[in-house]
Amino acid sequence: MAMVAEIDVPDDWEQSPMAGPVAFMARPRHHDGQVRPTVTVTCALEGSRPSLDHYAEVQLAGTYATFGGYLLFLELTCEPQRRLDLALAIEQMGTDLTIVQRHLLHPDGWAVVATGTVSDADWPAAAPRVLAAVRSLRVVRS
Amino acid sequence: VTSAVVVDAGIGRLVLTRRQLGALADLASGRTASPELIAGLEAGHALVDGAVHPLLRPVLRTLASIQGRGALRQWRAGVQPVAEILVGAGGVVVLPAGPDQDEPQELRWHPRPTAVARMVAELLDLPADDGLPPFDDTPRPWAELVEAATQTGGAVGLADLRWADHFGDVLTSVLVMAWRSGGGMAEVQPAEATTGGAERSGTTVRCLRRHPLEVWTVLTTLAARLT
Repeated sequence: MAMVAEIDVPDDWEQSPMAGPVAFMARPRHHDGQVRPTVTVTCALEGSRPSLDHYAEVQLAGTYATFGGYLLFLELTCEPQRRLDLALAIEQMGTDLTIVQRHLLHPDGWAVVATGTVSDADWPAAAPRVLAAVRSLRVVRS
Repeated sequence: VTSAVVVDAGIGRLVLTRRQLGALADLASGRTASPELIAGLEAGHALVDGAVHPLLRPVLRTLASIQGRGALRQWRAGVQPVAEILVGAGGVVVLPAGPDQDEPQELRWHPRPTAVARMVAELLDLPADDGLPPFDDTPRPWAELVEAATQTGGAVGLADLRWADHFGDVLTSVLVMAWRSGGGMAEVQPAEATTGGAERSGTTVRCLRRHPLEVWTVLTTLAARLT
């Protein structure tokens, strides 16, 4: 199955294709802070075709195992499609980061995920554009 | 010798009173402390062979370099002490048990001042779910919010975060929040322009619905305000 997911990339950002499960990464061409904000989009096949609740449970457990941190926001909805949104405050490699994610879950068992990563120091200024990019996630072909 | 001191390197737990912290700071900078305080610090292994325990040294370094300072007051059933947040070049120290000099404090320390947003978020412990806040935006007495938050078994939270960008400055409210424990939060603001904060007794306030990420954005500005 070939899935193509896309997001609205801000005009002054660059988008790079990636190998492996990461479909692409987008980030500002120039950034003055220590950590350049990024939005990565990944496509995954969920073979078990989980319910949204089960998917959220597994994803949260995996996210905590990977990142740890503090859960800032969590929302599950089935309209207009099955979706999980979350935000975490974490620390990684000596940096305090805000992670925002949107997961879109298809009944056929595949999922696409947009992950925004922003230094806490940059969050107030970067949040509007990073959130808009993450929340624009959509599948254009599968 | 009675001592509230706990220095547990295994789990990183540090418990000291403000008075004991002050004595440690005095000793670390070459000044003296009372024999009774020194005995208590030794009994709790905060002082080992006359030297400050390694777990406490970064805490003292932070306290010696304080730039910004905050105070978080929460209204709940029963006594809820004010937590003090101290931010300096050495990191962030949280003293959660109020201003009493002899009250044991479960110290929290973090090495980076930029961690202050996450540490305050953890102290606030706001719900992660968006939703309708416990009060709409109709002007109402501040006392009504306090009454709801302090009911035993109630589901309403209320907190006032005060902040000063410089150590000697007066603390002023930067965020007053009311929330429903199951999700749904609001920023509390004075209904009319006043010189005090929204938390003043007798004030009429309005509750303006906020998304959890809007509140997070306010918290992330705290570190940026330090100069």
